[in-house]
Amino acid sequence: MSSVPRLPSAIPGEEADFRTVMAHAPDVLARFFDLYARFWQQGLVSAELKEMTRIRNARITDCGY
Amino acid sequence: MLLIQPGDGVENGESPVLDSIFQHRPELAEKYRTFLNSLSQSDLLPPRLLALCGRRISHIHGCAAKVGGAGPEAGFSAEDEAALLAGDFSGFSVSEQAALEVAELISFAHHQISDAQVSLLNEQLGHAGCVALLTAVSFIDVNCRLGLVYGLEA
Repeated sequence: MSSVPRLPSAIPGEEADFRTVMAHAPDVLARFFDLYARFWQQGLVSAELKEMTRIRNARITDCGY
Repeated sequence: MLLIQPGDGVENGESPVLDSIFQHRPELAEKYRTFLNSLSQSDLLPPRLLALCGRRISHIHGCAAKVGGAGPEAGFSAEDEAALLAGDFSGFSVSEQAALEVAELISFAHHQISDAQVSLLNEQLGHAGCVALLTAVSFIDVNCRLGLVYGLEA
């Protein structure tokens, strides 16, 4: 995997990160955040459990988030 | 073309994952479907490209669903299917080969995707197309994994 962003930011003056790179496809980004916000806000699974699984998944996949 | 068709089953060439699993969370299902279709219904990706990548990822996972659409409406032929099954991409266009190589690696070896492969995708599809393609193949992979984990697509 690359240690530097492979695509530039789509937003002038901002560094490349997940949001600013995805912003090259703004409609896709908007729908993704709409889904993602709903997923994290719903309460059937506790926020703590979701966060623990997120961190574990990130570690296994060598993801910085 | 929809990336995921509501109400269709495997026999119709689409994934039952959303309807079978997400029926317990209809609001989440609707947002998931809307997100996926923002990829397939935009003009960012040719339907044929999406169909080819969807079929290859399905093959790799042993997933029955033809995620991403497959058939004449996507310009997807029996010869394409045979080539995908054989892992022989030589007959496809440069952009299709570039997308298929990355789609394969997303499924089981995402750390092996190289700078050169992403650079070629950028050249072929542009930044917006590259973002759309990488997002699409990632979530096609997710959909296959979900179906398999739930025992829906053996």
